[in-house]
Amino acid sequence: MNTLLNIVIPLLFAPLLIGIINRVKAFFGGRVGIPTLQLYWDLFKLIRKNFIYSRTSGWIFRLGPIIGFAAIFTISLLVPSTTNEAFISFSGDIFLIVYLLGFIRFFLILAALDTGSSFEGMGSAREAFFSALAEPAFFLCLISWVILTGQYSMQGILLHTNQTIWNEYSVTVGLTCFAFFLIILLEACRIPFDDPNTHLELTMIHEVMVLDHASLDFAFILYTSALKLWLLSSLLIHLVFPFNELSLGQQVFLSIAGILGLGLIIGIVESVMARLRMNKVHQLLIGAAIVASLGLLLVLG
Amino acid sequence: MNQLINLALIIVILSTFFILGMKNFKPMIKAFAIQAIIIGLIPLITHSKNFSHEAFYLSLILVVSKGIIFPWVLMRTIKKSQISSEAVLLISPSKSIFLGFLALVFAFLFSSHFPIKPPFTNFTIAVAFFTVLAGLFTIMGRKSAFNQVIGYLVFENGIFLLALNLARGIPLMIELGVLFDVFAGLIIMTVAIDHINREFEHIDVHSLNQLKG
Amino acid sequence: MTTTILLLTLILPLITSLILLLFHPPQNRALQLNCLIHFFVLCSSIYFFQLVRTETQLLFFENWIRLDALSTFYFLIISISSFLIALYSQIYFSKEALPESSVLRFIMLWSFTTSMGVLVLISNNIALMWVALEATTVFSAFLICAQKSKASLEAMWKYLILCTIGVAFAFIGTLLIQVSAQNLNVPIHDILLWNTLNEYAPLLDIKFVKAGFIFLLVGYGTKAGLAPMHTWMPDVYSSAPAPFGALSSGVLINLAVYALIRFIPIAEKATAYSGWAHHLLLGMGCLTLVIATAFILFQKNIKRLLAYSSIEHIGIIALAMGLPGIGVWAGLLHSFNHALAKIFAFFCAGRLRQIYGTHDMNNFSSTMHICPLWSSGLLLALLTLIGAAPFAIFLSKFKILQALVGSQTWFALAILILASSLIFITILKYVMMMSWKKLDSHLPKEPTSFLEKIIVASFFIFLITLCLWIPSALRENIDQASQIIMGVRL
Repeated sequence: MNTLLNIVIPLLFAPLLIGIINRVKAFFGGRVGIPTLQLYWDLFKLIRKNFIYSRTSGWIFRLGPIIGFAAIFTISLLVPSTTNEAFISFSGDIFLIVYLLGFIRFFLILAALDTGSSFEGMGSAREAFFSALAEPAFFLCLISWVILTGQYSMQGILLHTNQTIWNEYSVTVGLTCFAFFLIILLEACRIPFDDPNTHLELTMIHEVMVLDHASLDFAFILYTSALKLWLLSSLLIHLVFPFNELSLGQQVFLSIAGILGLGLIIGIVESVMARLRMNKVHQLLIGAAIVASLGLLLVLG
Repeated sequence: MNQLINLALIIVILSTFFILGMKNFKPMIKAFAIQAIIIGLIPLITHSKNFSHEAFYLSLILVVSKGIIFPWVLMRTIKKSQISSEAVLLISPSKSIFLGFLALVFAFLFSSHFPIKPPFTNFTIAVAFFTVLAGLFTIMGRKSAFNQVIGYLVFENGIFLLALNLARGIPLMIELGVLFDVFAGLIIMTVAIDHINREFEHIDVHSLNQLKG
Repeated sequence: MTTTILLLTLILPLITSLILLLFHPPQNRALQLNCLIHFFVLCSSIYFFQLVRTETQLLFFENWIRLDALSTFYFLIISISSFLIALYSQIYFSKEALPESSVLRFIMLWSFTTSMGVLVLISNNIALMWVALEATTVFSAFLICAQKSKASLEAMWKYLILCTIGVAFAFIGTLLIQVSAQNLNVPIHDILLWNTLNEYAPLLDIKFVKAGFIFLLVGYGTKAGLAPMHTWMPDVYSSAPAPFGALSSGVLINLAVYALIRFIPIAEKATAYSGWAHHLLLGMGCLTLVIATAFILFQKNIKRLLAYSSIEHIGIIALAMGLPGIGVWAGLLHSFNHALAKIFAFFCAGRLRQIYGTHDMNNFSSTMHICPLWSSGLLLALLTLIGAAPFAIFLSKFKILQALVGSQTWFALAILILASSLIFITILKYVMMMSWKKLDSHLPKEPTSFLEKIIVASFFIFLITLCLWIPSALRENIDQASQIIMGVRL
């Protein structure tokens, strides 16, 4: 039951997170904004549409979104996003998670390159570069947590995070959580790395990669992004609020409330900042890597 | 309290990285002010259990002089001598930060040999050496004479941190003496920059190469 | 009474600076006041010299202030130098067309530097010594650009940055020395005091003493002019006024050397007399000597030549300090002789520059005819500096050669002989050229005042006498001082 909740709740609630972020942005902009459940309606609309494939694209273009969705679903099996038991857990599954994320990106990039359009190529190049910079930061955070808890699986890390670690290593925890937050912002293609509302292709990173996808493919891609954001946010929430002593209902409530709260924070960050210039983005990522490594040094030293 | 010291050191490291990668002077000065204030608060943190007047006065003087007076002097020099706020770096910011990171790792390895008493750990010595190295790097890797002054102040900050956590017997008088020296040095350097600016119309140290042989 | 005199020696120059700042007396009065204060410092140094002969060491202010033979020896050197420079600056500044505020500022900063210099010599607390030495660096910086020009500003900036950073390295060294004493049960108030460190030296942690000594060598060596940290010296000397050159050579360098050799007994005892510190100094001395020789060979500017000559002599002193026994004794004597000879050389070079308007030695022609007093002075000074007999430096150099042969360090001996010969030939050539070569210069004969004649005559007397006879008081003092450096007794 616990493990099934881990799979069902992200699938159900992920689009709601995107809605909340959009609502917060609208609030800051003094607008009413799009309805909170708009992504659900968008997904339904997209499912009912017809496919459009260009003659220059091949089988990778059709395969990309499907693999993306399959990979993110696999991640949801590994990450205990709502309760403290993942569906599958084994020692070393943190690497599988990171590389599954990379897998999604890799196939999306391939699908984008398959179209033969220059905009997609540009977006793929940028996406590949920034993700390559984010990976060391991600790993440094994970390594800090592995050393702190002594566990090599995601479920193990989240199970063994408790108040003692918080008290003794609060600075490390703070630093890695901050670096992790920046990585979430990158993975979800949010400001300050990428502006999801821009309509100028030259300034896009992720959106321009998926320009050519239509109907169900696009639905998969939107759903994949929402799920990615949900799952990574759940990781951050469970690192910040250790929840292995709570009852099931409390865990579910805390997860959903926490993740939606993080959505609120992401919305605020998006509203008060502007997107960084392209040549500053990689500096921020290197900064995130350094912050994470400082946390690691504190643990080691 | 250990965590508090770790937090303070992390802020010092981050501000040092900030100084390494910054191109404009005003954010650099603000980062230096934050660094100086945090280092000035460290005596208070370490003596929070057994309150001592010496530590309190030392903290107060350090915070006021290095955190407020020095940055004020620096800002005034920028305005008075009309120094351009852009710094020219010989090494790009990303490379500077990366080299700074290597320096941090090196300082970490180096600091493991030192005998250190609680509440300090080897981390404090590593941070102190890292700040010293970062200061030296700023002096060497920049073109403007003003940048060299900031580098010198960061260098002295690192030495202060080293003195605070290595040396137990350094009395208040000596710390004040060192502070006075640094202050006098700062004033002399800013006056010198003013003169150089007036005479040469620039403060690019790499163009000061008239004297040779 | 003793304490009062000591305090007055420290505070009177500070009060002078204050008086100059507040009352702005006319230039010649200020210069006379300066002479008076430095005369007082000289008398006080002679007084303490005599006192320490009988009492071995004097302690004041909870052991923070300590005078022993080494301190009084260097105190004597810098007070004699300062007084002579004060006398000379009366002549120099009266002939130099500088704005009065410039001269007042010069004297003010100089008085401050003197006061801090005295503090360096008398402080037992190694951190206080550092504070005072850094203060001398910072306050002497503006003495360089008494005459504002591009060259002097550039030189001042180099001096500031290099020397403050160098001295800051020395602070790290001081901290490391203190760390080495931390695990012993030394009372926390005494851990920075030199005599405590000297007493506990065999028990100190060797790792930290060695690391600290290296930092101190680099740090104080920058101030002293050891290679490869000497690069500020030629630039500073060539663009600063002659009194500053003399001040730096006679006073500031000796302060740095004093600060450095204070740590030799501690390092030696901590490393169980293995000669580690001495070898390090020997190596640095040889390197300095080689670099100085290389640069002297093609100098055209008289002041740059004197700068490299200073570097050479600091190299010789460091080399001498690297030889236990006679070497240390000779090194101390060499400090004294070099200070006297070098300030005299700067006096002459300064006056000749005022007459000829340039530093270029090729333009100093037939100086013997135009200004025989200062020209013969320059001749004497340069001959002394290259080690010609029967002038002072010949004796100390000879003793160093004796020590080298005695300790069988052939490599250093070869370097010293080679360097000395090359420098001898080069400078002799210039001296001959400057004194007697005739060029078409229509300069009138320069009148010389009585004070100038007195100054030159007294230097003649000093430099010749010191070769032939060392007063027994001085000899005893140098004996005691070298024993302190060797770590034989407190």
